Amino acid sequence: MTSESTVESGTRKLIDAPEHASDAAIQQLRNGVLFLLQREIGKSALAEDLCNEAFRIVFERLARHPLEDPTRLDAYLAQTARNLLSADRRMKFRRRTVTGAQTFIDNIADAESDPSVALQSQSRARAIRRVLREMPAVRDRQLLVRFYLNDEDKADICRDLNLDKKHFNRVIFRARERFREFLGRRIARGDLYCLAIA
Amino acid sequence: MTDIDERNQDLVDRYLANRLSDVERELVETRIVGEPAFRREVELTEALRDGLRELQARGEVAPLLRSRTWMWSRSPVAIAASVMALVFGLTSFLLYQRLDQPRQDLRAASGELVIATLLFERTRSAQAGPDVSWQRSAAPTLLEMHFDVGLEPAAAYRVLVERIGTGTDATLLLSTRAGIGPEGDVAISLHSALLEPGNYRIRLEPLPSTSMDQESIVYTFRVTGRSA
Repeated sequence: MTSESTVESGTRKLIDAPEHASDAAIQQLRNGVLFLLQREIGKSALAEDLCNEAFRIVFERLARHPLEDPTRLDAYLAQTARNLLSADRRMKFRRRTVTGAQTFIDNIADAESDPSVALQSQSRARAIRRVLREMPAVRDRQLLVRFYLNDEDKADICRDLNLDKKHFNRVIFRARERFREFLGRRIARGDLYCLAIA
Repeated sequence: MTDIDERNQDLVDRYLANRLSDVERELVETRIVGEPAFRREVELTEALRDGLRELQARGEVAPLLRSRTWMWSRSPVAIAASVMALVFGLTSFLLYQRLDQPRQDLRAASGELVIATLLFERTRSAQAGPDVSWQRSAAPTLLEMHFDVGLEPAAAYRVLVERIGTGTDATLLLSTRAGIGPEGDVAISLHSALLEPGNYRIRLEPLPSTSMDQESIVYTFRVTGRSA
C-alpha cells in the first residue's frame, strides 16, 4: 500500500470515526499542516500549537457536521491553519506595545537559538556546496543560484545565459537529484551513528 | 516519488518564490497537506534554497560562481598543463602497476583467498571502543577496508595502520597513500596474515598536509580469534 492510499483511507476514517483513524494517516496530514505553518513562522512552539489547534477545530467540526465531500479534508485543514495564523497575527498586532526600545530588544534575540535548525542548515549547505562543486559549467552553477537564491525568472535566466528551456530543466533536475542523494546519504549516516550509540 | 514532472516542479518553484496567485497558492497548500509525496518535493526544494541561503551567508556563493578554468584560456599554460598531466598519468599508471603486483601475485597464488569487506563509519571519538571487530578464520582472507571520510573529503589520504600494544606502544604496520574511490570513500586492502589478534588504530591523514580545514580521521579496529 502506498503512502498516498494510506493517507486516503486514513482520511476517510478520520472523517467517519476519528478515534479509529491510523496514526500514520494523521501524522502525514499533520506533517503537511506543520510544514505550511513553519514556512510562515519558522520552527517554533507556536507552529506546533497552531497545528494542534487546527486539528482540534477540524475534529470538533467533523464530530458535529461531517464533510459532504471527504476529499476536501486536506483543503479544510490547510484553510483552518491559514485562518489561525491570520488570527494570531492580528491578535499580536493589537496587543503590540511600542516602547521605543522594541527594535533593540528584537535585535538581542538569537536567530539561531535552536541548535537542530542550525545543524540542519549546515547539512543542507554542505550538500548544495557539493552539488555546485560537481557542476563543471559555470553557467549551470549561475543558473542554479540565480533561480533558487535570487528568485529570478526562468525566462530571464534562459535569455541571459543563452539557454533553451530543455537545458534549464535538465540542469535543475540533475541538481535536485544530486542534492537529494547527498542529503539522504548524510541522514542515513547520521541515523547509523545514532543507532551505534544506542 | 523520486522525481517530479515539469509542471509540478514549476508549481513548487513558483510557490516557494511567492509567485503564485492566492488561488494557486491555496491549491498548492492543499496538496502539501493531502499528498505526502508532493510535500516531500516541496520540502526538498525548500531545503535546497535554504542550503544556498546558508552558503551565501557564509560568503561561499561568489567563489563557487567563478570559473575554475581561467588558466586554460591561455594556450601556453594549457599545453604545458596537458603535457604535465599526461606525464603524471603515465607515471601513476606505471607506479600503480608496480605497487599492485604483490596483490595480484597473492590472488594468483591462492585460489581460495576469501574476500571480506569491512565498512568503517566515521566516529567522533577514538575512545568509544573499536569501530569494527573482525574474527580471524583459518582461510587466508583479503580484507577490503572502506572508510567513510564524510561529505567533504580531502583529495587523498595517507593511511597509517598501527598495532596498539600495551600502554602507548604502537607498531606501524602499513603506511600507504589512498585516493577517494567512486563511492566517495577511501579503501585499502590488507591480507589477514599481517593481522595478529589485537587492537589496531587506523589513521587517515589528509593530503596535501597543508590543507587547513581537514583533520586526520582515526578509526579503531579489533582482530579476534587464533593467531596464524
